[in-house]
Amino acid sequence: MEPIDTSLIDWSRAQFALTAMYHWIFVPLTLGLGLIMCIMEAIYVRTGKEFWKATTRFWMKLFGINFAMGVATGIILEFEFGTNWSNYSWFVGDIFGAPLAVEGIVAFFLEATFIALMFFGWDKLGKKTHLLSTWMTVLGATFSAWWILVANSWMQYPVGMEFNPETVRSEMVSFAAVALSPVAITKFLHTVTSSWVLGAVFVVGVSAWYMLRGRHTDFAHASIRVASLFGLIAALLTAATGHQSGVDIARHQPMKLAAAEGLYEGGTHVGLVGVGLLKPGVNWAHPEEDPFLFKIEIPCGLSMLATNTPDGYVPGIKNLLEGGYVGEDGLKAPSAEQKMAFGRKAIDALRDCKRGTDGEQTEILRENFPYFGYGYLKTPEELVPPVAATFYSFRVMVILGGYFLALFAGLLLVGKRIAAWKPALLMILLSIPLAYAASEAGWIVAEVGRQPWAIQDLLPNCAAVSKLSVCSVQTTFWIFAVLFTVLLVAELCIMLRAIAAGPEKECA
Amino acid sequence: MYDVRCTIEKFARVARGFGEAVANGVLAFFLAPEQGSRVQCETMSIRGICKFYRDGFQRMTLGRTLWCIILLKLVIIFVVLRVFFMTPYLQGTDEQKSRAVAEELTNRN
Repeated sequence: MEPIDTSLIDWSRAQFALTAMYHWIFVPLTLGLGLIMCIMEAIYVRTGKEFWKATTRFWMKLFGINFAMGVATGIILEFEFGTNWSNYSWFVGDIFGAPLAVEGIVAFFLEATFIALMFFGWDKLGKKTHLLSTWMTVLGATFSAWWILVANSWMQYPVGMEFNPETVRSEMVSFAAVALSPVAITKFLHTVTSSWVLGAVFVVGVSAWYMLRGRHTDFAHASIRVASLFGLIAALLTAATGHQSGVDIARHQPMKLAAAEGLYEGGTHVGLVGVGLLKPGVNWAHPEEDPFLFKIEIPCGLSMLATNTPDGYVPGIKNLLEGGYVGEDGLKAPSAEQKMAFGRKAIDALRDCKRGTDGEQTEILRENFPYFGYGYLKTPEELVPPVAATFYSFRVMVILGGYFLALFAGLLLVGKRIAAWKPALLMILLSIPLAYAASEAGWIVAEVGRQPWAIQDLLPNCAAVSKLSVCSVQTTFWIFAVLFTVLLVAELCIMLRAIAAGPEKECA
Repeated sequence: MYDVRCTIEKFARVARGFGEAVANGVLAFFLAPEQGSRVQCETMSIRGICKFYRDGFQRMTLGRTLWCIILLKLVIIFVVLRVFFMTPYLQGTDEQKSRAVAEELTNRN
């Protein structure tokens, strides 16, 4: 038995989180702003007005800045898999590699081909052909997101694979099961539609700044009109896909849902906490103690979210650890201790397989493999993710999502009168960082909420991490922190300069 | 010697023909769709594609700064980070890697 230094796991996780969160600053704006400029260019092609061409070109310039800054930042994540998470990287085998390879070949080439036509082709292509190039660029970026999210979803819900004890790798048995898993579909739709919301908030925010300065007001009005309608539709779609995401989490990652709700003791007719303040230091074994200092909840809301019925049973943290409740499949859920015993059996069987003992061990491994990762845990408490981080991030995401919905609806109702209301314009401008906060909070719910797993139920972080020196991980953490901060500052400077310069004269 | 040169010339002619055919197809679709079949010969060639990119790069203003940042970033990522800081932890053949991971996974519980 070789215990892994917990600070190594923490630093490796922190480094991955840092890289992923910085990378995610660039991605949603590419997806959201991209589609908005596609719509604006479609209006230009349809109306033939130079005003819309100049409007599209302005937003395309900002899209280009963001794209250039974000490009290749995701590659560092792939390096980290090989360096910091080598056991994980080997264990997932080609399942993780296949979607990333498809992403690289199809989506990247689609983007790389059409982005040049989009930026260089304004005066050389026909209007419709240029519009097609713009759409293809944005579709390429969206396809990229699809494959990356397929890989991420597999970590949350590993399907379409079989573990090969000889190679110690998971082997894909169904590409369709991996690429079209319900979790992947929902995650893709929720992530992309929420990115559209971010793009729309960015456009209305920048336009509000022009209105505050009294510059390019026609351009700002037109941009707000398009972005708020687009944003409203996107926000509604985000809410719908968010609900489906809740159903998926309840089914496949019930501990994440319990943590996101601060639900220690489950039951039927469970309410959804709208706003609440968690009591610090609550022990999962004594859920009779109210875990909240205060809360406002929607009656039966969580049962509805998780099971689509108001009286559906939702297990809490205590129930999930103690087991014994009847699951959706009609079977009695095993306790954490039982799962840990199954996991240890699976690991022992793998050890025997590697020593070359008979085929019986392979069968034992196969039977207990769904609990393989539990064998690395020392206590059931390790299965509880950080409740406060998950709970508050979930609230930040949902409350801000509701705010954006109201913002877009309000902008559509108010129309041009918004120009006269300076505080509202300021609030809209300040909504831009809020959109990023909501987007990052969503990922915190998804990733912190599934701890301690690198791959759900199969591989915890303590088994996935490479045995590096803590010092080397700390060094690279700070290198990345500096590098990404410089990149972000550069993006902000270039972006702000481009915004200050404003659109071309046709829009002035 | 003569045969070799002849073969190279023949190959070059075929390659050029093939390249132009592909370029014609691509450019007819992308570069001058409004002109339909009246696509100009000059644009219907690899030279046309090169000119398209050359003009595009030459006209760039902000794009130059962005390209500099992209190239700098790629150098840092692939030359500095990959080579000195983020080398793959598992080395050797697949069998060696498999053995190393099996040992890790069976000894950590």
